[in-house]
This record gives sequence, C-alpha cells and structure tokens, in this order.
Amino acid sequence: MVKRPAILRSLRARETFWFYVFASPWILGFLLFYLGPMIASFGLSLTNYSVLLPTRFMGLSNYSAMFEDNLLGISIWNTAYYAALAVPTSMAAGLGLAMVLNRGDLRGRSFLRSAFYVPAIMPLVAVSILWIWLLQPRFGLINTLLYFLSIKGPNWLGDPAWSKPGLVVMNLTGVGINMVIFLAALQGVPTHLYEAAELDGANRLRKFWHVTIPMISPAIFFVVVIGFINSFQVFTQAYIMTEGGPADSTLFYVLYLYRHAFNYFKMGYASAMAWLLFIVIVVLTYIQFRLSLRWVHYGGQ
Amino acid sequence: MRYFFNSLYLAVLNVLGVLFSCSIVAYAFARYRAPGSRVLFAVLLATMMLPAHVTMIPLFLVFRALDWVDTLRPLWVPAFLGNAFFIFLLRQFFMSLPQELFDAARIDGCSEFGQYWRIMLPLSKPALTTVAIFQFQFTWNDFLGPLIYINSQDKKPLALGLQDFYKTQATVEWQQLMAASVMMVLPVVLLFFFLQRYFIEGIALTGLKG
Amino acid sequence: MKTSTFSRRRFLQYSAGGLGAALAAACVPAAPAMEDTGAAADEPMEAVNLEFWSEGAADWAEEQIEKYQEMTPSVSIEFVTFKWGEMTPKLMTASAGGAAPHITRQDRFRMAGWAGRGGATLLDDFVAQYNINADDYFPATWAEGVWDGKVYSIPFNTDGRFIIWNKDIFAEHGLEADDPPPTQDWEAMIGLAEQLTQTNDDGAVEVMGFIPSQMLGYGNGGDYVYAWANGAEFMKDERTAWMDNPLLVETMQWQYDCVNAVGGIEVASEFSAGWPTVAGFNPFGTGRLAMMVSGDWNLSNFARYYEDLNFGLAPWRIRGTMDQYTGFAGGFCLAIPAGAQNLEESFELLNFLAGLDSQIAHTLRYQNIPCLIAAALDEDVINSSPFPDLRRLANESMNYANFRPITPVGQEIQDLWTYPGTGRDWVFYGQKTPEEACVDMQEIVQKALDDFWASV
Repeated sequence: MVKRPAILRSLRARETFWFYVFASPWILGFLLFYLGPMIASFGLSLTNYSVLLPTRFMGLSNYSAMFEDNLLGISIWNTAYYAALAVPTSMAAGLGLAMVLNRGDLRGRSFLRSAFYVPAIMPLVAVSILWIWLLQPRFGLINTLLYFLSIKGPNWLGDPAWSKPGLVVMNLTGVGINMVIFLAALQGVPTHLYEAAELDGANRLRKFWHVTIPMISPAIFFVVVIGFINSFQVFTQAYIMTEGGPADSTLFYVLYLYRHAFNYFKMGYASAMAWLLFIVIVVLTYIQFRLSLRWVHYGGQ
Repeated sequence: MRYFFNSLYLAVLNVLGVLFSCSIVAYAFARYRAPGSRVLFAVLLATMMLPAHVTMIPLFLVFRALDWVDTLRPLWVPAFLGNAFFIFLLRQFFMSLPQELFDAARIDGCSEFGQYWRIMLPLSKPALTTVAIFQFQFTWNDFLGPLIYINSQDKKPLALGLQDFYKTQATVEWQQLMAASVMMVLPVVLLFFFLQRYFIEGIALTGLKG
Repeated sequence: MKTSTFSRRRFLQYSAGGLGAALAAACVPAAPAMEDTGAAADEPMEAVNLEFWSEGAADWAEEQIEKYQEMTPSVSIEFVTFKWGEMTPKLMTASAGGAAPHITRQDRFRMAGWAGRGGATLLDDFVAQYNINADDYFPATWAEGVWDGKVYSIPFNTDGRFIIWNKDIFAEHGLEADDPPPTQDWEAMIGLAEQLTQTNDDGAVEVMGFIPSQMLGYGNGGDYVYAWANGAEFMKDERTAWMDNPLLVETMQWQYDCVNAVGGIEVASEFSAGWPTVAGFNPFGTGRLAMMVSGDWNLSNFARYYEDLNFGLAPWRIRGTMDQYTGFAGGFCLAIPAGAQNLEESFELLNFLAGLDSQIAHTLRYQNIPCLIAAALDEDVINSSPFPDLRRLANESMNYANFRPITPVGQEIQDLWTYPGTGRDWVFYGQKTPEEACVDMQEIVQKALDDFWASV
C-alpha cells in the first residue's frame, strides 16, 4: 500500500495495477471455487478413490491402466470424430443464419431470429424426443427430405456408421447460440468499410471475405475455441439419446468417464481420465491461439 | 409458482452478476498488459477444460464448508466472481474495438474506470445483451446445480421442480413433458424477443477511423 | 526482482497444493469421526429432522409422510424426489460430503454395490427388533438386499418381465391365440418371429414378429430372463465372474439368431427407431409388434392408451419345460446410507414406509408389484388393475422370479449384458461372435471385480 504512488508512476506499473484491480473478481472466484477442486481432482486421480471405500494412493496406475482400456480408445476416436464434424458445421450454420437474419431488408426478421433461437433453449429431454422422430429412418422429416432429393437416407441412430453424423445434425439444434454471437459481432462492423469496399467495386462475396470475416474474426475465433472445448466434452446427447450406442459408436469420452465416476464407483479412474482430456484440450487450444495470430484481427489492426 | 419465483430470483441475480463481473474482468484482459496476465488468461480458459463431473464432489465440499448447501447461494454467488465463457466472449468483443478510443480518452483525463464505464460498456451493448440472454437461459435451464445443492421443496427452481412430473419410473407422459417444455422456453423466448433490438440497432462507429 | 517473483510463485504453488490436498483428503470418507458425531447427536431429545430421498413416486411419498407426521410429531421429514436414474450423482456427492440422507428409495440391484463398499447401514439389528421376516417378501427381492450374509435394505416394489403377445396377429396367422407362445422351445420362437413378421412392398416392416432385446428407443427386453431360462449364471463365486459361461454364449447366439430371423439388425433397429420411451408410444400397443418381453407396467398403459388391444401375458418358460417358469424381479428398496444419524428414528420411518399399508397405497397409485407377498396378493390391489386376472398371474409369478447377480460389479454386468449401446450390441451388429463378445465382457467384469476386492 505504501508503494502505491510509485506504482502509478510508470505506465507499465499503472497498467499492472489496474489489471489486477479489474481482474480481481475472477481471481477471487478462481481461488474460491476452481483452484481447490481442480487440484483435488488431480490428487484423486492418483488414488483408487471410490467415494465410499478406504482410499489408497496408487501413483500413476490409473494413467497406465488407460492404455489397456479398449473402450477408452474407442471413446477417444468417437469424440475426435464428433468434434471434427460438429465444430465446423455449427460454426458455419450459425454464421450463415446470422448473415441472412442481419439483412435490413428481411421481413419478419425479429420473429425469425426468435424462431431459430427457440430450439437452443428447449430442454434437451424434449429436444431428444423430437430428434428421434426427425431422424427416424422411414417417416422422419430428414429422410423424407432426402427422399425428395432422390437420396435414400440412412438409419441414423440405428447404424453405427451414421450415429455420430446423426448427433452432429442434432447438435445444430443449438445453432441459435452461435447465431446470436455472430449477430452481436456483425453489429460492430463499421458501415463505412462496406461503403469503401463498394467504391472499390467489390461484389458481395468479396465484401464478405475481405470486410466481414476479418472484422468479426475475434467472434469466429471464440466460437471455434469454445466449440472444441465443448465438443470434446460432449455428453448429454449421448447420455439421453443413444446411451453410447449402437455398438459403442457414440460412446463419447465424458460419457465413459461418467459411467466410471457414478455407476462403477471409480472416481479415481474417472479423475485420471478427466486430466488426460484436460491436457488434450489445453494443447489443442494452445495451437489454436498460435494459429490465431495469423488470421484474427483485433481492433485497430 | 414457488419454483417460478426461485428461477426468476436466480436468473436476475445471475444476469446482474455476470454482466458486472465478466465485463470488468474481460476489460482487464482486453485492455491491459501486466506481468502474469497472459498466464492468468490461460488459466481462465483452463477452468473450462476439466469435466465438471470430477470437480463436483470437491466443489460440494467447498460449499458445505461455507454452510451453503440447501441454500440458493451456490447457484448465484459464483456469477458475481466471473465466468470463463463470458469473460472470453466479452474479451473478444472488447478487443475488436479500436484502442485509439481509449488512448484518446485517457489523454483527455478520463479515469481508468471511466474508460470502462463510459466508453467500453456503451459500445458493447450487443455483446452485453448476448451475455444477459445466455446467462438467463443457462440459469433458467440449469438442472445439475440445483439437483446437487438443493433439497428443500420451497427452494427448488423450475427446471428441478418440473421433475415432479415424472411420477413413476418407466413412463414419461409426453403431454406433461411438452407442457413443461413450454413453461421452460417461454420466458427465455420473450426475453430474447424484447432484447434483440440491441442487435438491430448496431453501433455507429462510422467515421471513427476516417 | 527475479528472485522475489520466483519465491512468490513457489509460495502460490505450495499454498494451492495444500488447499487441493486438503480438499482431496476431505473427499475421502472418515467413517470413525462420523460415528462419533452420530452418537453425540442422539443425546438431545429435540425435534429430529429426517431426510428421505426417492427416485419417483412423489405423490405416494408425500401422502405417507403426512400420515406419519400426524402420528409422530416429534420428527420433521424433508422429502426430495428425483427422476429415475438421477439420484446417483447427488447421493454420491452427498455421501462424500457427509451429507447423505437418512433414508433412500433406490434401485435394489445396486444395493450390493453400495453395501459392498460400506455405503449402506447394516440393518440386521433393526430387522430383529421390528420382527421383520424375510419370508414375507418375494424371495428374489429379499435376496438383493443381502450382502455377505447381512441385510442392508428392505424390499419395496418390484416389476416382472413377461412374454406379451398380440392375440389378433396370432389369430390372423391361424395360430392358437389364447395359448402362450412356445417360450420353452427356442427354435420354435425363432420360427415364430420370422413367420409373424410382415413386410410391405417397398421392404418396410409392417408388423414385426419379435425383437428379443431393447434397441434404441422402444422396449425393455428379457436379456436376463433368457439367460436364466437357459440355466446360465453370471458369476462363479463372489470373486470370479463367469460372463464367458457357455450357456451365456448360447443365449447370446439365440438372441442374435432371433434378430436375423426378422431381417437382421438393420431391419430391427430401423423398426425400433422412432419409438421414444414415452407413455402412449408403443409399437406393441399400436399393433405393429406381435410379441415382446416387457414389464407388467404395460397393463395400465394398455388400458389407458390402447383400449382395443387384444393381448395375452404369460411368464417365460424354462428352456425345454412346459410348467416351469423363470422371471425377473426389478424394482426398488428402502435403505439407510452409511453415516446417517438418528438411526432409531430413521428406521422407524423406514419401517413405516416399507410397511403393508404403505406398499398397498403405492401399488394402488402406480400399479406395479409390492415386494410384500401379502400386499401383492391383496384382493383390493389385484382388483384395482384394469386386468385383474393378468395382474394376479403377474404378481404370483414373482414367487419364482429370479434376481440379478448380487455383486458390487452388478452395474457393469447389467450394462454389458442388457443395455443398448455396448456389450451385447457387439454381437447384434456383427462386430464380434457371441464367444468373442462374452470373453471380452468377462475380461471387463473380472477386472472390475479384481479392483473391488483389491480395495476392500
């Protein structure tokens, strides 16, 4: 406290001071509600913690046991497959919707925006029943539409080869979330940039590519990073809809983790699984941040 | 009705909480460079990367030590202490604003808090509206939190209270399920409908750089 | 400057590590300490607060609690209700935090999992004190509450599995509609499944003959029943799993053959898709399914949603016999989690909730089978059913119903053997032969079992 005037002397010191003042709510929240539980779960990953039985230190044996767990390998593949499809599709669909619904000349715009947002807020239990019907192979809406395009639709959730794509399609129920983020981002694109581009004779596509995309790149980056973080933890759809099936084709990593934690009384193993996932997501996010230096444009650049 | 008011109470507190805490923390991350700020940002993102299932028990013990179990506090106090998802979201929006605005304000003698309050917040209405809508929805639909922390009937929010619809083990009555869904969805849709003008208005940044 | 940040970082690391270690240590059960506080809390004779958690059955519970409070004003009862399957995370979290409720109404077959790990209170003394007699309960339901020769739960309600057939479809094929299908003859069942399946011109299934096991969406198969009908056991002894039992391999092979007889897994799964597990959406009720193995709860659903349905219900015969049957006893029990305080008061309430009047009240409301034989055969109970004759048949059949393996790894066995999605799916989807699948199941279950016995 005595140092305070000194701190305010240089710009760098002043920035440091204000950073910690403004960030303090989160730092406090992190220390109170996150740090302890995270470290505790890492500690438990080194034990045979079962919640009930006496707990013993096991060293890294939970981690080495993962290498011999066939279903774990399957769940990693399923999760990566799902994430690779779900992130780009929900990003593209959200951006597409936002572009269309942001046009000033579109009639019923407010209504349409709300309508596309509704599925994202429906309770998943209700949504899952609707999707069971939409994805029904014979009379479901999706395959009926495909039929009119002369395509024989697959037996979505009943076929191990199509169940993951089925859940990717179902994931688009939540596209309203991305739509809203992009709508908000589009409001920040200064109109004079479009006018300038038009003066240069740019067509719609060029304007989209050279003005819109760079200007909303921070939001796109957010959607991609969060998309991967969430997709690698995909759980509820498989838990409610497919129970990991058919034939383990939707056995996602966190679903498998959940079974160990709460059905098989193996919280120690589940914690080790969680930390492996944690490391994978950290590495992936780090790579995305490195790459973002090339394509994400922040204000004034 | 009790369920409805509990949900409303939680939703209002949570929305106010994240609007305040996340905007100011995101401002810190977007605006300042400080020793440790990059590490802290990485830590912030990392809090989203560990599945909640394995931190549930330790977190329960934290709330139990605070004697907050079977109160509504575990369901709203954390919102006032930031949320990684929204901090990251707002940071992205804040960083897309031109820095010159703030530097100019600083030279004009505007305080650091004043720059946040008078420049950043008004320019970020669409983003803040987004945060408000999302948080309202998350709180309104949150099921696992109340399931773990609430026992008393009179403290249950709507998402948990609707469980009473499931009277027996095997059969779900679909009419009840749909009725429950409408009750869950309607308030959020209404909120969205009325708040979305903030997406239409846009912000006149025209000429700032020209 | 450099050294100061370094030491500060070290300090942060140490304090964070200490905090986490303390929390991790706090997660670990501290049983002796809990008993101490239990003894201390019994002393003051103030109003006792009891918590009762139940999966489902909220109306019944509220009614019984009100009754009990009138008789016993000295206790106050807090009731928490859950959807089926959703109590576990909370019960586990609360147990770790020393905040488990006083009484739970939970899945009975999982009791060995809790009791084997010290998660349930031993009830032997109370059973003696309250003159509770095992013979008053259907044998399978009592057996599931016993682990290592000791009683950990009181059976509450149960449900059976039966062959249910559509008499109209049988009559259309010139079959004797009133006779139960030949469940003793597995080859004949495969033939019947094929015969009753009708396909329309573009290859879509109009009427499905029989799908032995639950696919996505609809159903609730007889996976355990077939195994028992074939004389198969899942465990050799309490330390040795027997999932590769040749009789189980044979059972799995038969289920696979059944599915192939109706057109293979593509046809069966396509048929099953589109029927969510919601009351009022049932392919059997709408006349699209000729036979199914499912529970007695269908009786009240049929009466409510499919008034015109002409159906029969019978227990499943032991393979190769005409008058010997096997069955399945699912359902719930009442138990006291470990570490609960006020044990005397808790058990008194438990005994009231598990009592004859309470079981009858529950049955009248939800139309499943009470575990007390006297309640199950009570005339009011039987006549409350829309199909009293079938109800009587179903309830009486519980006398010879079988129970799932009583082992702390019962959930693993159940997941692999019966749940859509894994284990048995390997066979249905042609990824593994029944032998290969059973060997892999054996490996998983035995590993879980070894881990369990290594940690007790």
